[in-house]
Amino acid sequence: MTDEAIVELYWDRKEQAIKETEVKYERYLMKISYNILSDMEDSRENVNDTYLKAWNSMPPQKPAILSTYLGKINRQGAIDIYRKKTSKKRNGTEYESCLEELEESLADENSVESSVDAMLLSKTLNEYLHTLPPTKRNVFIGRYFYMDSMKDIAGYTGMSEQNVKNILHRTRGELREYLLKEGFVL
Amino acid sequence: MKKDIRATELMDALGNIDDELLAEVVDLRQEYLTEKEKKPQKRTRAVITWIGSLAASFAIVIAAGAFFVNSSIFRCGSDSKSEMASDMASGTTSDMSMAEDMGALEEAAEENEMSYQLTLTVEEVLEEKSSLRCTIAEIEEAGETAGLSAGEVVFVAMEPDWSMDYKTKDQIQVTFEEQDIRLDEDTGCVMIFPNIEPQLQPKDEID
Repeated sequence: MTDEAIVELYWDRKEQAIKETEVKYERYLMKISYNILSDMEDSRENVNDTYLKAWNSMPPQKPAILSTYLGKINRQGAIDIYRKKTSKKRNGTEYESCLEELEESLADENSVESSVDAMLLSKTLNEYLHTLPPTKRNVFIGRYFYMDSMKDIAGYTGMSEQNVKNILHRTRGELREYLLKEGFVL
Repeated sequence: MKKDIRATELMDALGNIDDELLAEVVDLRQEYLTEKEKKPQKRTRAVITWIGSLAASFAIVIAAGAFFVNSSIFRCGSDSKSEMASDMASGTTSDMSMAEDMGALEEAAEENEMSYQLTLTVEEVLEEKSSLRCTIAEIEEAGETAGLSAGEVVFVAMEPDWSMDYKTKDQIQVTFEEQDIRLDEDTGCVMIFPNIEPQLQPKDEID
């Protein structure tokens, strides 16, 4: 089924939309989740959450590219689970608890500023990625959006693993320079 | 001056990459990962057969030992060829000399490429019926003895009731359902009959 047809099912509020999404994108979403979480059960849960979030967001959303839309929801969900889990692990000491409480209060005070900075950062990052040649960009996105292993990236870009490592190393350096030039403090 | 950026914020910002840029990678990944998913299945079959052959050879040594010093043997496999090896292990060919026994056992094992045998001590089975462990080093050692190349050993879950999970770099865990385990009191052998035959293929059919 085409992405357009699946999105239409969501808009028509037909549960078939989730089944079709599962058929077409389950492996893709599981791979992203697993890359981040390294746990089948958590990944499964996150993929199910992704279906639910997709159901709740369409309408009003009408994504032009369903795969990337679902990928973004799924990636952020997995990162949130990861952070929650690592935070729980860290919370063994009172020091960690205090630190977290202080971080929360600081975040509240600066939330508007933070979100503006986050938007600016995203915009700058996208501008930077558009300046890159496609091969370099694909390697960077493969690693830092999909969090694929260097071996996998080498596999789907047709490069050696060493080449992938070199490209990532250079790109990180260039990104740093670009962000500094744009006024970010690193 | 904009705020100090931490890696977590950069990671969040990466979640907002333009769809058109992401879509390029989606297409690349899709094809590669689909191909990659097919390969482990072939490798799984290859590993099963490899272990099958290897363990059959391993079984020869232990079966011969069991025959002559009445030690315990743990065996799984269910076709006629493995029954032949079993018969020998349980002493039904006791009129043969040791050399003849070994030769016959080797012949049976060689012909037995499509069956699966894994030999461990009976104590390991009885200690924890549903969970058996052996090290990859042990398997590789047995493989070398049998003249087989070790290759890359990768274990993945294969059947709900019969799974081999990669645990650590040097250890695998083999899990069977308890009902698949039978203790043959006459021979002292522990026999396991997992339903894995559909997974097995002759070596020459495997990439």
